[in-house]
Amino acid sequence: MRGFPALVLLTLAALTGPVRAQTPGTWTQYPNTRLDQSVVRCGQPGAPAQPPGCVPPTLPGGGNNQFVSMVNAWVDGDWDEARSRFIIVRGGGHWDWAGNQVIGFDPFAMAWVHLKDASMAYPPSGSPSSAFTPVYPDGSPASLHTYGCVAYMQGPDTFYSGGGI
Amino acid sequence: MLGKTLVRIQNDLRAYNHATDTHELLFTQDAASSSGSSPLVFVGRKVYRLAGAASPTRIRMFDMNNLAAKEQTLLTQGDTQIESTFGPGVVSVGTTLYGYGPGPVAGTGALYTMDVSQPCGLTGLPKCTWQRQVAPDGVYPPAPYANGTWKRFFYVPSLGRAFLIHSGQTNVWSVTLGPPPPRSFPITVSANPAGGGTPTAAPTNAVEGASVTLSPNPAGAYIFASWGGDPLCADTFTMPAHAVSCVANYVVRTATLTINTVGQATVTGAGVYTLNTPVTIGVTPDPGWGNTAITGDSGCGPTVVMDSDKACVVTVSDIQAPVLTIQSPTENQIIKQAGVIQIGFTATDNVAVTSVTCTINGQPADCGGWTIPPDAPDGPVTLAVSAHDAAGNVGTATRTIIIALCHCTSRGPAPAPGNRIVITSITMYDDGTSVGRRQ
Repeated sequence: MRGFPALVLLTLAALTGPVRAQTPGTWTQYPNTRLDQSVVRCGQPGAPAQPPGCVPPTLPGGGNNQFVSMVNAWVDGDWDEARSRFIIVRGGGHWDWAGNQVIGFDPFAMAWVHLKDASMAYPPSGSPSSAFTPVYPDGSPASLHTYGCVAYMQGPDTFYSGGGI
Repeated sequence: MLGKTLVRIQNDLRAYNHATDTHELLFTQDAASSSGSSPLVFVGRKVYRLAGAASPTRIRMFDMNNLAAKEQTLLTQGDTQIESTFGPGVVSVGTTLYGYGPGPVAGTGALYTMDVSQPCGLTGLPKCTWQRQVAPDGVYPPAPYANGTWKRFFYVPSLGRAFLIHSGQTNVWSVTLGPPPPRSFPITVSANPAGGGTPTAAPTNAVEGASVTLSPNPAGAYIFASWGGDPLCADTFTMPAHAVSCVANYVVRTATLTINTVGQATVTGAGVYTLNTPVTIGVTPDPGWGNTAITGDSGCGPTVVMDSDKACVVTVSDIQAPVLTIQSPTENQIIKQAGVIQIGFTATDNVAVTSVTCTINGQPADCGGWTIPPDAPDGPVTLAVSAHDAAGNVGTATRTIIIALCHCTSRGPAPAPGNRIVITSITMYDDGTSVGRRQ
């Protein structure tokens, strides 16, 4: 399938702030960067109470209905070189999450960003062993375990997402 | 690859072409691929991947310059625990692979490195070596998430760090892979108007302080006029700490046709034209002028292709002879007396009469006055008067003049003083033949 057209938000935050030069091999944890506590999730500080502009904590009838599955459920993403963001497209899938939202993480602002609302036209998940139909009734691509098969294509400025369940 | 992305589909390695929405098969592996593979990681033209939990102590590599060799197995040694990770995150910086795998203590993760600057792992070569990096401060991230990491372990060159999105319910981590490189910024160049040329910048990304050279490369009919956009934009400029967008302004390239006219004619065509425009030089000679010739710079002719400024010369020649009228003597005038005969004439020309010549019976004569000697033979003579102009045109008029002088011959002795001669008869001759007698 063709990927999502990359969104137009440019991120070129200054290098100042949370990222500082350190000895190579030094690990740094950034507080307050949990996805489930970010503005991506409706109702969190700074987020709308409900869509649009955020992902609801639950999607009734959408499998196990776990919000964090948009990352946890065998989900990949890729670095958007044009916008300096890590983008996760339609993460979730299978029995875990029905949302085909597009979200991103901005390492310059050290913050999650909500880029595209999830379709509410997803079909109910039948069983733990079933995947969502490849295309939702509204024509949008299904949520997916994307595994390692997401790639940003710099030329067409588009995300590729193939395979998965 | 721009516009294409490498994809492993079961045993196939394919390149997805966004423009055609097709997958081009690069090669098919003989053996089934293992599950939980890492992302494909480029080091130059070589592409590496960790084959996943089912395939420890070896990684895979194929060479984009030698796809016929397909994917090869590279034997590994050292801290190979990373190869037992499902869907490990691996990135490359320079000729080093950096991976995120199990840490030194249960529940922790760590950074792994492998130097692939030298060939390794193939038959006859040393094994490729993994090295788990000790955190200088003893701080380690969580152990790799069971469902895989893949590209959620990603490198941000401008920060010199790899970031780890471990899961949806943990904080984001990063690890320094080396000193942050100088941050570079893009230089974009556009043409105004769009078809005016193909401007370029070299380099297209530059760090602050670097020298940037812009080349306007105007298209055929255009000429570069100026740089616009960012005030810094110039043929060469020093890169600032921000992106620069430049605009190459072009104007239509013109050529000037200059026409000088020699002679008298109405000439059209001079002017300023878009480059390479064919121009017709129109020439309408004035009356009395003709024999048009067009000379001058290369390409000058009835039609001039204006591939550069041209100076052409249109020459029309005077083709009209002077008009000459003899006023005296009159036609068939009889000259009975020797002496000077004045020649009266008028001569006009469309340009100018430059000289007048006279002949008597074809022999040069003085136009100022023709002297008829007393012994001039009787009979008709032809006076011709010719007027000349600078172009060599000649206008001529002629007159027939009758010479009829009195040739008396005394037959007797001279009369004595006081006597007189009485002419008793006169005989007239025409060319020696008597034509009459008077008593």
